[in-house]
Amino acid sequence: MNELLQCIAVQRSFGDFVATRGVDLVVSRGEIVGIIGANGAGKTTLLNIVSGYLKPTAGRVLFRGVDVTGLPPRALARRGVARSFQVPQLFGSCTVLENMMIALSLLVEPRKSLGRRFSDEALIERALGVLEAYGIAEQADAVVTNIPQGVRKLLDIAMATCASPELVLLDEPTSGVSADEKNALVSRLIDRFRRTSCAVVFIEHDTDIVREYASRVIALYDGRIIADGEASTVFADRDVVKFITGAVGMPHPEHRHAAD
Amino acid sequence: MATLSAILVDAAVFSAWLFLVAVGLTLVFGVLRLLNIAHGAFYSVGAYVGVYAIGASVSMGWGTAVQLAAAAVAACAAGGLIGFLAERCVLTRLYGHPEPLVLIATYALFLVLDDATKLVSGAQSLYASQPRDNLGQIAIGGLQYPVYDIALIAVSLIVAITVWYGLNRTRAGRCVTAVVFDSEISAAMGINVPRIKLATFMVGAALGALAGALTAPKIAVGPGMGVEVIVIAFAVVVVGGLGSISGALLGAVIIGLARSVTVHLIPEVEVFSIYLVMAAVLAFRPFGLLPPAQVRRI
Amino acid sequence: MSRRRIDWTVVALIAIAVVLTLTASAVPNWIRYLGQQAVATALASVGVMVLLRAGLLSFGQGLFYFIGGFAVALLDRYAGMSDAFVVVLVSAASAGVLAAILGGFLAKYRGIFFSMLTLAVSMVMFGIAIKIRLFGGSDGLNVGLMSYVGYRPRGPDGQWFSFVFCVWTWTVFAMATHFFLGSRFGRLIQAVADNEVRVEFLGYSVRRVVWAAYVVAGILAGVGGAMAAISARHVDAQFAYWTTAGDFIFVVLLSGQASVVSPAVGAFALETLRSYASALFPDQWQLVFGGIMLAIVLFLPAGLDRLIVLAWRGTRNIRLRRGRLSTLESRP
Repeated sequence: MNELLQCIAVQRSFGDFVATRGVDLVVSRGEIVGIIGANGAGKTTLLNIVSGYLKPTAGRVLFRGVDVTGLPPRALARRGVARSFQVPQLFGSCTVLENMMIALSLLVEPRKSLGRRFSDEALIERALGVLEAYGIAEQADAVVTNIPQGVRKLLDIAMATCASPELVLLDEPTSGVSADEKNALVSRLIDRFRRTSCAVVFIEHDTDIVREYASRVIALYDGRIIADGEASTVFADRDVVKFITGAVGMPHPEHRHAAD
Repeated sequence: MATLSAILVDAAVFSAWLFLVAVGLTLVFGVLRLLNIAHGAFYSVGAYVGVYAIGASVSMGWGTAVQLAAAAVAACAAGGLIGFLAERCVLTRLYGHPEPLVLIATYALFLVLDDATKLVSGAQSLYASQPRDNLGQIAIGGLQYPVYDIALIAVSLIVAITVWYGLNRTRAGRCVTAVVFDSEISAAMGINVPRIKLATFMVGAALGALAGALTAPKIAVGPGMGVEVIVIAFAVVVVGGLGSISGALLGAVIIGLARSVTVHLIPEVEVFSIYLVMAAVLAFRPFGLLPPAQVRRI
Repeated sequence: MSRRRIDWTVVALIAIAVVLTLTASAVPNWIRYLGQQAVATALASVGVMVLLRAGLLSFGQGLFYFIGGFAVALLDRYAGMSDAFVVVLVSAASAGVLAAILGGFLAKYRGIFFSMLTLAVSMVMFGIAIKIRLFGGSDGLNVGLMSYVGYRPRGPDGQWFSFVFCVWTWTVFAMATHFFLGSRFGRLIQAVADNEVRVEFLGYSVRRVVWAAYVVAGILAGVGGAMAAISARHVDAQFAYWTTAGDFIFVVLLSGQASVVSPAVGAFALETLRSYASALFPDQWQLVFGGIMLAIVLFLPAGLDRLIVLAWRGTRNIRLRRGRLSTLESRP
């Protein structure tokens, strides 16, 4: 089947506050989907639900046709859902290389190999290989608290995706990365993911990046999907312009006072 | 029916004691995010100071009210002073350090204070039962109870209300609440966070000492008092939810009731009633009945 | 081509064991006794170290120390079993089973909750122990002489056997723990301390990791208790009192956590200190003990090991880089 991910009427409330309402969405193999929306629109909440960190208060989530609603993150990770974080979640006291080795020993290596030595030459080799593919092998021996944000982001993503996942969820992969590095980072990532036939869903604020790399765009506002389709169509959508982007060449609706 | 009133009165008396013992601990945890193992030592210091104060007052020929007032004031002062020294010399340097280290530090403080009290007061038991004897007894539901014990119920309620009022209705109290939620932002807003932490720790220590002083007339004051108190106080605040004053009250009431029931109906289990209640509550609510809110991490 | 690096911990463990065995008969009895007590404390402290790697401080290892010690005493008294190997295995097993059960509940908790709950459980055991006749009440139980696969040595011979047995038991269990910590699973323990969320999202159950660490720590404390029972030939409820657990914490604090050998050094220092203190100032032992802990916490929180660790890490990085450079160069 081609549909990798299906969200059916997914809803999530926190007490009185509804963060996600009535989200219906389907993501197929090979798609590269960008999610846009203002802060607080519910983008990260949606990702948290799909990756198992939060249980929806209503609705279902299906992965490869199987109902995975409410399964914990580790179950989803083992089924092939990878997730990176807005704030990179790394092992702070370890080096970049050690972080990667831990990720490999959990996601790639068979379970029973957990009894083997950690400082194993083969594991180190494999970890270095992944680091090289992401261009961060130079910092292999640096403790992660001392490396630049761009490297932290790449490591975070590298760790999550080292097992060739089927669905990759990226939460603001370029946030905190300098403007001239953004394009290089995203193009390297998309390159890698295009080689497998995984689906990528990424949250992004930079509309240029979204236009450039996303085959499909989903716009969220107030917990709801207000537009879903090809990039050019979505960006031209009136609601999207009104609530999220503001049209190019016109002042943003909220800034109209300054222009007057 | 006589048994029911006996159970309820005993429960009230015990709950009052539990609350007095636990309130300082939960206050310090709520603000400083540290569980002060040395709280047991403040309790025992307070008890010794109370004994000396009462003894001195008795020999001066002062009345019961003055004896108790002297004990309370002296204990609070002693607790506050030791709390000041402990916070300034030790704890201040450890904020932000890994939790195990801070816990070890308060354990070490406990050992030091416990032995220091033994050095000063010797190893034999001391008594100061005069205030309690002087107040006489009162009949409730057909049984005689010392007026002192009943009066403590009122005292603990007063302490509860005072602490609640202090935290919720005064400016200083609101600063404390702000620090609890986010000490960085509070500092950015101009609140003197180190001073709040110091003041809170001193108040917590004073409350612990006060509990000790008020308990002194009821028991034999001797070495080893502090240890049991820590575990009991922890059980109370855990049941109610760490960091919450209303939680400490709730926990005290529940455990007091449970112990009273077991004492009267199933005496063999009495010693473990506290732990059984704790285990039972934790089985259903792993973080206590009224835990403070948790902030989402990712 | 992989060049095996020398595992200095294994070398140290075996070297120490061999040296102690060879010199055992030349050393006065009281030093041997000190050494045995140190070894018992040290093993339990290794357990504390394992849990600390997960970021958890247990105040309740005394519980398993008690279980292990009393397994020896009860086997001796009621089952007539006094073979040292058997009793140690039974101690390990009983401590392990109890830890597996308790761990199922405790693995949910972190931080202060974990510490205080372990404390509470241990004190409950203490409360039970001083009341029940089975455990000898507050007097405890005596432990008879041990036999070693049929051979029952007496007198000075018996002491020698007891000492050597304890040394090698320590070596075996410490080495096993060393391999455990150096395995990929063992690395997970530290990963859990660093970032639990990340471990979960990498597909592994954090609770299982914590549970495993707790069971290992329990077994180590149990075997430690057995050795304490064998060497002192006496056990009592004090094993479960929280200050016993405090001793183990002190040892780890003093000697640091660089390797499983460190606690041995700290434990020996503790036992020596304790015997001098009880001679010079018996009533102020807690004061001295607490004072030293405060000093370490304030001025050298990573323990004396810190200096060694810094040097080790420095040389390790150099070696790792050199080793990898050659692997990178040799690739097409």
